[in-house]
Amino acid sequence: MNKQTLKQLTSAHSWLGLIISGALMIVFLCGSLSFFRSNIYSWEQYHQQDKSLPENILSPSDMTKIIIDRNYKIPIDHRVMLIFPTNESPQYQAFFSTEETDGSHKRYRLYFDPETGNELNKASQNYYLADFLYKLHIDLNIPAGTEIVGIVSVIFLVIIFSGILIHLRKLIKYFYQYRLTKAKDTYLDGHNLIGVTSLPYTFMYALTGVMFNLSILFQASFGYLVFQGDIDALSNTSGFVAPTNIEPSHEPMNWQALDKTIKHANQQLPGAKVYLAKIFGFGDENAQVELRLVDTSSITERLTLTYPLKNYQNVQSKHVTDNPVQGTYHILKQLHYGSFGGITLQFIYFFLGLGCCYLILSGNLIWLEKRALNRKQSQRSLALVSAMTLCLSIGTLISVALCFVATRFVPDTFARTEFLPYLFSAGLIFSFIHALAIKNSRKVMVQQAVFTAVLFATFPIYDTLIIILGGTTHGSLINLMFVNFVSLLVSAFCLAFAYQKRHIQIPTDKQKLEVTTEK
Amino acid sequence: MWHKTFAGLISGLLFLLFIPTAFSLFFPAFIAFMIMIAIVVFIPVWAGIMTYCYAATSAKQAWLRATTFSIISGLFYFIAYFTVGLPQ
Repeated sequence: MNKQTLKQLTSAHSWLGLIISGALMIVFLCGSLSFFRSNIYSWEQYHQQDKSLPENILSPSDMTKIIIDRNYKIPIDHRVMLIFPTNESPQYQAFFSTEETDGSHKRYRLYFDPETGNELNKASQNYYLADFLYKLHIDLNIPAGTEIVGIVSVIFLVIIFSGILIHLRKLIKYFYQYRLTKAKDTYLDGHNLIGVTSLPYTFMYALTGVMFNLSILFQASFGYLVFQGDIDALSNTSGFVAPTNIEPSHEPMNWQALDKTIKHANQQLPGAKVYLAKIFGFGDENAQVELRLVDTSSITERLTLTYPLKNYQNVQSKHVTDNPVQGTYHILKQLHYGSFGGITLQFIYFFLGLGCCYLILSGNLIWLEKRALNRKQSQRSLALVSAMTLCLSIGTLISVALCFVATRFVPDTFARTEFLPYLFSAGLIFSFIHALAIKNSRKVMVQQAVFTAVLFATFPIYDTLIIILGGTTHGSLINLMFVNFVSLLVSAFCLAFAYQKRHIQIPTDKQKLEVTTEK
Repeated sequence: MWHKTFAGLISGLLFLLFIPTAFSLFFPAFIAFMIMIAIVVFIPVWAGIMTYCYAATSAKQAWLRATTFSIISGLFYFIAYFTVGLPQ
């Protein structure tokens, strides 16, 4: 590869990295924490009233009957999704939308006590941290965020390709090279080492990121260029079909059959249990229930069973590998979630995710310090760009840490669905102002990393003290310890990052001048 | 940089949209397989085209590269459309 091409690719690699670093940092950090989403959900509720799963709970049929009796106006072509209670999330959850008199639709997300069937009060819906982190991961919690994350994933793929091409000749030869004498070399070697090590992981995440977030492109291209706008035909071909064309009979639904269908389904795929039911044509005699069995220890085992509740013996069964699109989508999804490898793989993914956070932070620092050496660069614009870059990279860590701290310490009556997004933005603003005030990008990163480490260590210490002092605790102790351990790992990562950056020799003004003169 | 970004993004996207759909017109029995290939192969190809445009030494060269890919993909789809036609 000639020098000119290499120069262009290096320029593209650094600029693109800088531009998408903020979004990528949020996606990677929140995604890494979302591996433990159910544990975080349980962690949130630990010090509140008893939320453990009771021994005798209502069956899904009983729960369905309670929803039917409430007489919601659910359109026949809509579905009701019922999520069963678990130890981590010990309540029934129902998702559906109703049609209002003016034709508009109103979305519902209801929580029910699994023992009594009573709708739980709003405070129990306040546990938002796990969902908020996941939402940040998938759409940054902003309008059109899904598409933005999709585009960011494409650019991330370009960054990976350009990085490989830049580093191609040194990919293996200099893999173990780690020079500690100069700051620039240390950053670069660390960046290259983690970049090469995590290559299969980052490639898989970039690919699946595009697949999840820009699937509309495939719908549009195949739907219009192949199927002439017949989206139903495309859905049939790709296997994304749901029993939505149900003819209403206006007779009551055979809700008692739901338990029988679940019992039958649970025997169909060893190692998998039904954890949710989707009911189409809700309330009508012709309603159909779709149950999905996913063997999380395998990447190819998924069975979708569709039962007519009127006559549940007429079950239709589809294995995910029956359709190439479904098979590919499912395998890539399983690779993305990593659940097939158990907790070990999820921890490996978690560490690789933190490694990617390091890539982003070190990449930004390389760019910022290189710019700082350039005397021709306007200091005001550099300070602004530095502050923005730093607030969107290291500031994300502060924001996430603040959300954890607030979830633990803010009173339970607070509406966290409204509070956490503001707090997240406040963390970013704080980081921006701090970066503007300090000006030295490395100093800002070190100070903010230490601050984040302190924040992530606060609630594990608090929880431990509460338990040692014999305070009232109710939830799952294992989940509490697990999430606190993960938080301490993030705290250790921040401290290690700060320690490494602090101990690298900072170029003096004289050295900066020498570099400029050499140029 | 903006020229290279748009040149790569648009031409790569056209390649992703037209090539798998053209193959689907030629082989209507394998449309599901083509969607699978589009996900696994053509998404990295899209990013590859973008990288190729970023490697260009000037905006003009980037647009030239982008135009080549766009013409190839567009032409391939229209050949498929006018020879095989849409599936019944």
